[in-house]
Amino acid sequence: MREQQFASFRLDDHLFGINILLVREIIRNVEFTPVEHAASGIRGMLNLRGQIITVLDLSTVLGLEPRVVDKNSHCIILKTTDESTRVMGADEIDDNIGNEVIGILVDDIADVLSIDDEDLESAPANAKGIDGENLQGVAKLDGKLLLILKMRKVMSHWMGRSQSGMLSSMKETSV
Amino acid sequence: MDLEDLEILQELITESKEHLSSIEPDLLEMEEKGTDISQELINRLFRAIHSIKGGFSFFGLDAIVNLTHVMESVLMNVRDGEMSINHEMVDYLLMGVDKTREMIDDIDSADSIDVAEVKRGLEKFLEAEAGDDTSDDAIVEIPDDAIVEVPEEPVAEVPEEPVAEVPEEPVAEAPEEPVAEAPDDAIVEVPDEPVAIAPPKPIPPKVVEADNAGNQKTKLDEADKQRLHSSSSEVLRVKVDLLNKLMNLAGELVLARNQIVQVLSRKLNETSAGESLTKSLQNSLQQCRRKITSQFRDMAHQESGDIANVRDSITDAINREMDILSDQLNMAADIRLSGVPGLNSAMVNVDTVTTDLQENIMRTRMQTLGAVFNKFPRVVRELSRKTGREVKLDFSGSEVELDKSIIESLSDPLTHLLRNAVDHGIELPEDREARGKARMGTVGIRAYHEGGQVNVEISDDGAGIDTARIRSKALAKGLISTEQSEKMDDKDAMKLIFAAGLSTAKEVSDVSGRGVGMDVVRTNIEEIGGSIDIDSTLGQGSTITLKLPLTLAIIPSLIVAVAGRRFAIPQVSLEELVRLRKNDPKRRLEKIQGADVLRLRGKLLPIVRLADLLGMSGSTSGSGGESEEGKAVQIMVLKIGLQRYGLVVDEVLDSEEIVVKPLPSFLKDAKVYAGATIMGDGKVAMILDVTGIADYATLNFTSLEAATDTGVVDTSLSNTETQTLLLFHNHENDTFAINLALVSRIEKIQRDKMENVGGKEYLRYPDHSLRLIRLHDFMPVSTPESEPEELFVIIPKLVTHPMGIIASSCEDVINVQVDVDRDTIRGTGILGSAIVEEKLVMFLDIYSLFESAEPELCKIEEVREERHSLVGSKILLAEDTPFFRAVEKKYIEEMGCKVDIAKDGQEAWDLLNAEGARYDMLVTDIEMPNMDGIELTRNVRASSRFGEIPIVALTALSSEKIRQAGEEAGVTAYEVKLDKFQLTKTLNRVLQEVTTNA
Repeated sequence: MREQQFASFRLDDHLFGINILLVREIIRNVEFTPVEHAASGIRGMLNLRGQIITVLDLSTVLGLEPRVVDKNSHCIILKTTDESTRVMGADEIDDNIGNEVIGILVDDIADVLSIDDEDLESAPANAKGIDGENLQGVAKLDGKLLLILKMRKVMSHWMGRSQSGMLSSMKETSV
Repeated sequence: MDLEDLEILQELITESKEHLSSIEPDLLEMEEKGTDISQELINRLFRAIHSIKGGFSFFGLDAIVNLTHVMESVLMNVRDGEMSINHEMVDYLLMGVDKTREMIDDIDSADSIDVAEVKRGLEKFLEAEAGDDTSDDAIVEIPDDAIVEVPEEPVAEVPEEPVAEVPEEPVAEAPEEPVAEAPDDAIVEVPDEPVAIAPPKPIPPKVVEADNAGNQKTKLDEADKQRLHSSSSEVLRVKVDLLNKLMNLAGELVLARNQIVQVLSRKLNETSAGESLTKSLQNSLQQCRRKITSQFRDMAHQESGDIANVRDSITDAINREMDILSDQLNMAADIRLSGVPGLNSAMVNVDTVTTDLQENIMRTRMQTLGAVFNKFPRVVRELSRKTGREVKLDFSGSEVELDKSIIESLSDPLTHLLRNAVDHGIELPEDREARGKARMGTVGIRAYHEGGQVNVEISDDGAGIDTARIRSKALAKGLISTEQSEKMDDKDAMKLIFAAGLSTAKEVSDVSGRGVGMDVVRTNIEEIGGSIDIDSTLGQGSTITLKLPLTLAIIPSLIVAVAGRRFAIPQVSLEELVRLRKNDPKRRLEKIQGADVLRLRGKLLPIVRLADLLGMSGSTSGSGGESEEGKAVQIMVLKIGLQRYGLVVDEVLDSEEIVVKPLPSFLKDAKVYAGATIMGDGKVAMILDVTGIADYATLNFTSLEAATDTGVVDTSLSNTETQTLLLFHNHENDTFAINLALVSRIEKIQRDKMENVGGKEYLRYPDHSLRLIRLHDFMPVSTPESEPEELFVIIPKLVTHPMGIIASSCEDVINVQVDVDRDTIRGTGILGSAIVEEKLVMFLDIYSLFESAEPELCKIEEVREERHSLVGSKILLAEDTPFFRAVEKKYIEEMGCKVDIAKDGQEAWDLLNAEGARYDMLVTDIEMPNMDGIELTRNVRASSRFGEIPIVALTALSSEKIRQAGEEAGVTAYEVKLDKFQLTKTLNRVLQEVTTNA
């Protein structure tokens, strides 16, 4: 029987999960620089050891109120598609986020949960107010429902507008 | 194919591409020279094709082999003088190069590329040549010819290749041939491509190598050998990815270094704070002790035995405790103070190494402009034939290096400009003849370094730009108003071709010639941090000058703040900083058509408030913001091409070299940002895009220009007689002025940042230190009683040995019309005085000031000795700016000469022509009204009476172009204004030469 691991975190009262194979690291540093003129849900830019990371707030996509940063706030840094496909078994999770390094802003983090495949259920059209489109599936824990995010779908909210054009060649090559 | 083979194939592909790129210009050169081609050129061509063929035959890629074989055969016949070159042949050969490249680019489907036409075309020549002979015979003939030639020609190289060539079938020659050939080709290829890198090759048998080397020897000169040597042992290919990674890491290192420096300096500040805290604690402890002791002593008079005993023991106890406390304090202070010994010097080390490392890694990304230039001969050739022009392409500066990314983004705009030059610049041969020009037009590309930048000039000797047509089109398009068009001089009108509305319109390009997509070119150039300018004379040609930065990854920028957040603005876009004091009636923001504008030197600039633009609250500078009373408004004057606007921010923080990080794709719609960077404290700051901001704010430049030109604005201030002065103080009662044209930059420094060495003060930079001087040490002026913590350092330019002048405060930069009075106040370092804004202001003479500060450095003694040929000479000085006139006159007089003054070229011309006038030399400014220096020079040179007079031209900025124009007109020598030492030397040298020649 196959077992998958999920990093779980809280947004309001919801417990969300992201496949652990997609997670690069979790940091407490949420001192991002806000960026005006950015699309909604883009909270700002964060310096992670010299790399600039875009901090996203999934609330907009999931139909929740924007996050308010407090002392429990965390940032979950995700692996880019290139990084995650290098990991063995990552092709089985059928999810990716594209090739920009992003961090997602969460209210608090919870445990890493191991879940048997047979305990995973496909997502209902509406799981406690969250559109099932954005979910890979759900898992019932003792009294709690773990909503497993389909990151590719969630990210498409921002990616859609950025596929064309990308950066001018100058900016890309100057890195 | 096993892995090793794959690697070899990869190498072969890279190498073949290099060969192909060298074949192209060589073919064109061959075509141009016709029958006059050098043996070396044709051999080079032949060898390049041959090694491509040989290499691919090893892998059995017949498609490539067959095509290159035919090309080779044609070249072989040319080499042996059996065929003459013609356009058609070169056409087919070039097509062959293209096809070969195509096949190499897509090696898997090389077979499917149709080369029949090229092959047929080329074979036609071979057949024609074969004529009576069969082609087999032709090939057999070659070794004969070659061998016969050997005794007559010292070139020992000939026998080898033809002999190796004998097998006619490419297949037959396959396996060992390329191996034997390898070292030969690799070695020979090097000399014509200094940047080429010899790839690792299968090592041939020792014997062969020795043999080849022996044969080669006669052909290689010393330089070639050196290149050969270095290329084989000291160069290696590195993946661009890896370089980019290194570059990134170096950037990180710089950031980390900056962070450490910040932490360290904070620590040091804490330490010194701790020190003074300890001191004051100790002091109050002492005071406490004294008070207690004296109190007890007072009590002692009224007490009896027992109480006295108790009192004594209490006093002892208190004393003991206080001693302990004091010791502990000292200990604590010691621990704090000592810190980590040697940390500071280690930090200095890390600092320099980091800077070095970064610079060197940056240099690995540098490529020569040759990479772009190389493809131009072909572009010009094809275009000139298509358009019926006869064009010669001249280029220089292929060796100038720029960052890879800049080189890459230069290719398109340069090609565009080149096309324009050929297509629209150069006239048809008949027209040229009719105008008395040579049939063949010349298009020149020149690259050279100037002031930390690279300039690229594209010039043609064609028809030039018809400004009248541009005007009328711009009028028709509504880009300018009638008044504007009338007021606009030709130079400004010419610049209209960069305007977006004008150039995109198709019919304009048909009429005016130039301008298809010139705005795109401009945008491209500005995107890589460069600028573009145009100069043209109707009927004589045009020159377009690009100014480019050396690298993009790290840029100097200004850090500003709005609502407590920092932003970076690239220094290249920054023209100047303007600070408007509150309640200053003369300088303030005004409203025109409901928008804020700034009146600056007779022009109106649109104003953008960054806080409003970004919709930030809590700013002190936003329009709805809670502006602090009495707070000055900080405006950055930014430039986009020819346009200027002001950006209002809360605070201007610092200038810094920042590492540019590209924006994530999520932000590509946010046009107001050009990138992001990481500041010293680890926070991210956005880099502002100057063009993006103007676009977003939809600034209306044209209507403002109209307002400026129709006299809404008082333009009386902007005539040529005004000077821009920097006013500053040393002692608060003394106001000094220095012409802003003489100031390189002004820096704000902390007093404790100055270093005292041998009684002199210095300011240390990463790579050099700057001597600092205080005015009161060298000039008869008041000494300030106290100095503020923050000082300003004014660093002049146009001097041989710059020194920083310390100022306690900088007052203002103003535009005034002023006549310097040279009599009232005199002394070292003082040029004179004037009343400016109702204040007496002393004008600095930095040269005599520096002379007295560092007589050694200024070597004025040496100059004095050299002066003899100058003494008693009569010199005519033409200069329109009163300030420069006064200074130059003074300098020349100090050299012992007699000086007559002319206010412009016309006046100088009249003086020269006056009855009985005789001058030993003419010293003239270039830019003057009525008759400029160039025209004056031309007129003088045409005169029979005084045409031989030496002419020294002066200019405020050393521009290669002006220098060239001057030389063409007949200027004898050329000197930068106000560098007294150099001026004396030059004048002296010129006069001496004249005397010697006479």
